[in-house]
Amino acid sequence: MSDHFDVAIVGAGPGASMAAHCLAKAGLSVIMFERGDAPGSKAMFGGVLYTPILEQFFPDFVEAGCVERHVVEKRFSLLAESNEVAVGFRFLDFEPPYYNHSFTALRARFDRWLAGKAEEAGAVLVTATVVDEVVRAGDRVVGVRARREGGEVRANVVIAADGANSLLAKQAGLRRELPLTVILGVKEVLSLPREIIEDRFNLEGDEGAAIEYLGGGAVKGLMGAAFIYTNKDTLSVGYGCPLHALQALKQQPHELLNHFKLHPSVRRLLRGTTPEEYSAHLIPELGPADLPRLVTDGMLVIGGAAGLINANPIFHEGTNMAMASGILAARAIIAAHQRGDFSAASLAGYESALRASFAWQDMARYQQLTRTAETHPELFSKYPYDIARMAKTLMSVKAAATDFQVPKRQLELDVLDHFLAEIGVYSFATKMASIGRAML
Amino acid sequence: MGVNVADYLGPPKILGRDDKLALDSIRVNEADPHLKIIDQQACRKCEQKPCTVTCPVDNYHSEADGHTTIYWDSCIECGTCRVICPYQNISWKYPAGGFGVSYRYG
Repeated sequence: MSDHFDVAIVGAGPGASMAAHCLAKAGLSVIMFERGDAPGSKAMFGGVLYTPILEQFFPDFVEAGCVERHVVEKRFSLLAESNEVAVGFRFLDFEPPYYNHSFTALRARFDRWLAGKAEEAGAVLVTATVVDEVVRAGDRVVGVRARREGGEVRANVVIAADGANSLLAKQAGLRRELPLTVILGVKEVLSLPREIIEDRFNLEGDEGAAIEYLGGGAVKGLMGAAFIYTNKDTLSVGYGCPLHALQALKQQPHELLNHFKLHPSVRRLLRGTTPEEYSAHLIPELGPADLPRLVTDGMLVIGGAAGLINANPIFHEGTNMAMASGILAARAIIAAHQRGDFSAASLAGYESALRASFAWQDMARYQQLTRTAETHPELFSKYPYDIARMAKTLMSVKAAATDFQVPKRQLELDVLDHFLAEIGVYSFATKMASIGRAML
Repeated sequence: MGVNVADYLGPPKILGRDDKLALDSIRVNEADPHLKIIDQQACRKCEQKPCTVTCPVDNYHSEADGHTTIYWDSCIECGTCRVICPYQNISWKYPAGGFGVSYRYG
């Protein structure tokens, strides 16, 4: 193994592999360090993967079998203790093979496949190797130090692609410790024959469903959401909640997952399943003040290491943003390579391109929403109950002593009474206005 | 089809901490505990002890005299304890290459 490369990438996740692929295709020498036995063996996500980038680079990715099912149903559900109010979307007219560019996936398989693509392009992959430090010459980053004999590797540019915890970006002084808004994702993978999955979730062939659950029955009224995603012959079942919320709950995170699995509306979807794996991982949902510096002399930060996450009750994206950042980092490095200048100024095109891209725009926009939602905890702790209660009231069919059936007008008034007593016009209007302002 | 629906109607299996962990492949590097409490005195004066209620594999136990025991050999490397500790009192590094948790699904 040569001890000098054009680019050393720490990590072999989706962002790292896209960067490595682009760099190697452009003729640069690239080395990727993976601390697990194989790419993906330390990774975990929900997860649904958004694939426009894959279509562009690897049009045969669906046939390659790196993803599970294409999502035709998205459902958002409020779980009260024993009731459920849901809104579902079924998209049956998107065209194959890419459908709505939304595929369920498992990272052990996906990351390994994508890293293979980087290797095919000429990148060198080193597994079972932890990188603890960058090597500096003065203020410049000039390489990395792996935790092994003779582990120093020199490179013109180092890419920190080491995920949520990014100890490398922290060690290099580009990032502080994660804040308590960071989300803990907890998941079980449950096996179930594909015929049963398709029957139970009303799917045909490789169609998939993605169900998000909010409210007390899901995550005990914490800010956060639980989920069920259908894979080919497994279900991904889990939740994500910020650490500050879990700290306040004082219940073991693995027990909170059991609580969700036992909800009457959830447990029937999970009948006959066999647990195959338990996993947990941080999701670096940061505030603007906690985002790392993206560029320094000889070094760039991408993907989860850069806090590129759009995680909120509506959207859960990150792998696609990581891939975008990897491509943009590679382009900036190729331009710097042509100039022979790897200073922060020469690499700055990465940051400006990233800030102009969907990845940064979406993250920044929904960070606003998340920060606003944090100031209204009752959106998670109380509103789901109220909505379920009002829906139940309106939908209840009641016998009446003086007439055959309670008239609908009475049910409507009961709903209105509940709204006025428990939520209130002013309180509701101010919350909606503050959320509206955050989104403008 | 070869699958009998009736075989898949039983209630979902609810696993405790040990059974959840037993699903995972964790290769332990006995020679190198990768998590350490830096100063047990800080644990003794810590009132909240948030590490004991946020670790997803319940690896942090506060003992009677207030010191903290870490069951580091069942760590799945999420980083929660390091972030949650109010005293930045946990020395946290990744296990050596090839050690630690290895997800088959992820």
